[in-house]
Formats: sequence, structure tokens, C-alpha cells
Amino acid sequence: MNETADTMNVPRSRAWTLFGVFAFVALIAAQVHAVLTSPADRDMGHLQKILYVHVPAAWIMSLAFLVVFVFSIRYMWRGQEKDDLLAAAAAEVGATFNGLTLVLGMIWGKPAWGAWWVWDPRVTTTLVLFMIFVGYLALRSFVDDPERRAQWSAAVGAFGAINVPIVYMSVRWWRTLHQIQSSPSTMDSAYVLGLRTNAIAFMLIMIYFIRRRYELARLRRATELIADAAALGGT
Amino acid sequence: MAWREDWRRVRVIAWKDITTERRSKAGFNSVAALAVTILVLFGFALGPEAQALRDAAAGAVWLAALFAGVLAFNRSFQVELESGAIEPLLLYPGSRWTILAGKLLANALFVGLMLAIVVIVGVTLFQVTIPKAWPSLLGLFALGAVGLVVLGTFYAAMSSRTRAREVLLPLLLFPMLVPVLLAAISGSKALLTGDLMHEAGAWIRLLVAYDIVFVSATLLAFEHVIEA
Amino acid sequence: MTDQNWAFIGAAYAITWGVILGYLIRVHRALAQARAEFESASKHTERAP
Repeated sequence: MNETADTMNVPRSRAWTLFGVFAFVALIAAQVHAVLTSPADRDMGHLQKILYVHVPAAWIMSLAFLVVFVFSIRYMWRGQEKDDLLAAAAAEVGATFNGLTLVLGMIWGKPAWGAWWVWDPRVTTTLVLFMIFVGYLALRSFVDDPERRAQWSAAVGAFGAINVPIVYMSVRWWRTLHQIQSSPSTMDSAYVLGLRTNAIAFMLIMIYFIRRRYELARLRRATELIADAAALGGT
Repeated sequence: MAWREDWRRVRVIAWKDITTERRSKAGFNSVAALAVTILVLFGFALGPEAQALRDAAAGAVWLAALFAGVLAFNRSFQVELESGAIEPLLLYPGSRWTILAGKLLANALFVGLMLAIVVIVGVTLFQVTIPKAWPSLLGLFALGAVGLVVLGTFYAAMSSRTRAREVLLPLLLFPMLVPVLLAAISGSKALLTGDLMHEAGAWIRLLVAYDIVFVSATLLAFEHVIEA
Repeated sequence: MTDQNWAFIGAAYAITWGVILGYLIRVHRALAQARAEFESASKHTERAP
């Protein structure tokens, strides 16, 4: 019953609401600042303003999947349910930002490269990563037993993360062996500050989302455990 | 002599799977027939010009093997689930990895045989001329098959015990196999055209690295997966 | 061409905020529902023994 008491102890602190409000204010401020102050790029014109949402979304997606990897491994190591629920929360948030990254990449690619999609290594790896984590979330929704779901999704999450560099390498070779890779234009230092502030703001949003999603998972588990206990107690 | 006992267990499990498969020939025969059918359909989609077929041969062969292989992997655990034999298998004393190794051995034989049929049919249908470097091609296929079998067996151990196994296994497995497919298809293509760019070696190294990484990861993680 | 670029930029920001706000609303709704279910479940068990 120790586990039950622990799971039921779902904190609903006001501090996290405050944190969420702060995260959104920070995002709005960073975006307004970046959009208003950034000069038009020599080649891209105002189009580079898309990068202030696209690049942070891509970074945050990688960060969220890193969290999935770390907590999946930790779950396999120590077997604590909390780690599994946190990994699941990060996976869902990561997949959301991953989808956003792909769509924003297309919106950038159409005017900048003239095509909605190019088989660039980074772009393609992002898509494969998206498919891997769609599979991860599908697996979770198809397995009912919590212990089994945790073990299996920890393995799938860890394997998926291990695969990412290999996918990247393979797509890079696949591409470069056929045609010369267009190197992304080097970033002007004037934009670096805007990118950084936006990335930090996105990170705060990500932390807030993962936290809330984690709270949700804990609450659901706690409700399940109460129902189980009631069923076992017999009335 | 612990390893001798382990090895005996591996053989017993592999032999059990192979015997079940041999007794119900329907399994292997229909999977192989499906693979050949997929190849023919690829021919319709890509043909009939001989050069177009030749260019696409490697991709068609590997995709046919992949689609048919998925059915084979799910079957390998399904038989046990239907007869309720997986719990006794787990209760049996000894290391868990022997179950995986036994399954891997049986599946490797199964997929290897299927791949052989697919390659022979593919070479004929797609009018491929066998290159001088055929031993390298054989090695490339073997390395690709190892990756396919290891991850296919590992993910089937999970997906075969869920409600949606037909959808879930390809959904989990295909994105993971992207490097194997790219390496196997591009490497085969290079070897078939005489490897003018000297790229086949890079693909073979990539496959070796992939196989090493995922064989070790699977051996480490299998215990968690099968017991849950 | 520049006019078109503003359309792309506008679309990018609109989609970003759509996804972020959409996820926010989804999680908060689910959270409120889960909290209500949790509270009703714990009330039931308090009465049971």
C-alpha cells in the first residue's frame, strides 16, 4: 500500500500555475522582441522570422526525447512507476513538438527551398523520430497492464533514442552519395540572441506541459489503484 | 558448464519452433507465397522497362522480405500464446536470454529461407545480372537479415501479446529498421552496378554497427520485456 | 513574393500557437476530469470500510 499512498500524493501546487503563466508571458515577450527587432535577412528577407519558432520547436523536441530516454533507462534500472509516467509525459509532449517542427519545416521549406519536403538528413530523421514515438504512444494505448506497459514502453523508448544517430548517419550517406548536400546557411550572430531567448521560452513551456501531463498520469493511476483496492476489499 | 546447459536450452527452443513450423507447413508456405506476390506487384508498379526494373530490384526484394517477415515474427510468439506455453517456458529454470536466442535462431532460419526464395524470384523477375562481387552481396544480405530478425523478434515479443498486434508490430518495427533498409538497399544497388563509387563498404560497416548495437541492446532488455 | 512570405510567416506563428494552446486546453481539460474522478473515487472508498 506504500505505492498507493505515494501515488495518491499528487501535489497540486499553486507554484506550477504561476510557472505556467510565467512561461507563456516569456514566450510572448521573446517572440514579440524577436519579430520586431530582427532585421530582414539578406537572402531570406523576413522569412527568417519562421526560424524563431521552428528552431526552438526542434530543440525542445530533442530535449523531450532525451528525457524519455533517460527516464526509460532509469525505469528499467530501478522499476519505479513514477519514472515510467514521466517518460510517457515527455514522449507525448515531445511528439507534439515533433509534429509542430515538421509542419513548420515545411512552411519554411516551400518559400526557401521551393518544395514542401526535401529528403535532407535532419528533416528525414525528424520524420523517422516522429514515427518511432507515434509507435511508442500507440503501444502505450494498446497495453492495459501498467507494469507490462511500463516495461515495454521503456524498451521501445530507449531503443528509439539509440536509433536516432544511426538513422541520421544512414540518411546522410544515402543522400550525399547521390548528390552534394546543400549546407545550411551559417547563422548570422544578430539572430542568435533571438533564437536563444525563444528556445528558453519554449523550454519553459515544455517543462510546464510535461509537468501537467505527468500530474494527469499520476491522478489516473491513483484513481485506478483506489478502484482496485475497493474491488479487492470487497463490499 | 553453465554455457553448455544454456546452449542446450537455446537449441531445444529453436528446434521446438522449427518443428511446429514444419508440422504446419501452411505457415511458411503462405508467408513465402505472400512475399513472391508482393514482388510481382512491385513488378507491375515499376515495370515493364528492363532498366527501371533492374534499378528497383534491391528495394523491391527488401520491402517484400520486410512485409512478409512481419507476419512470420508475430507467428513465432503467437503459437505459444495460443497454446499457453509461454508461462511454462518462463518457469523453467535458467537464463532468460536463452529463450530469445532460441527464438532468434528459429526466426533467422525462417527469414533466411524466405529471403533466399525472394532473392531467386527477384533476380528472375527483375532481370538482374549477378555481379562478380556476389560474396559481398551475400554478406550484405546476411547482415541485413540479422538486423531484421533481431528487432523483429524483439518487438514481436511485445506486440504479439497486445490487442492490436497486426498493426502494432509494423508501426513499431518499420521506423526502427530505416537504417537497415537504407543500407541494404543502397548497398545492394551499389554492388549490382559494380560499386563504382566504393560505397558498399560504408554500408556494410553501418550494418555491422547496427547489428552489434541492437543485438546487445536486445539481449539486455529482453528479460524485462518477456517477464512483464 | 514578399507578400507571399508574410503569409508563410503568419501561418507558421498561427500553427505554433494553435498547437501550444490546443495542447494546453487538452491537458487542462483532462486534468480537471481526472481530478474529479479521483475525488469521487476516494470518497467512495472512505465510505466503504
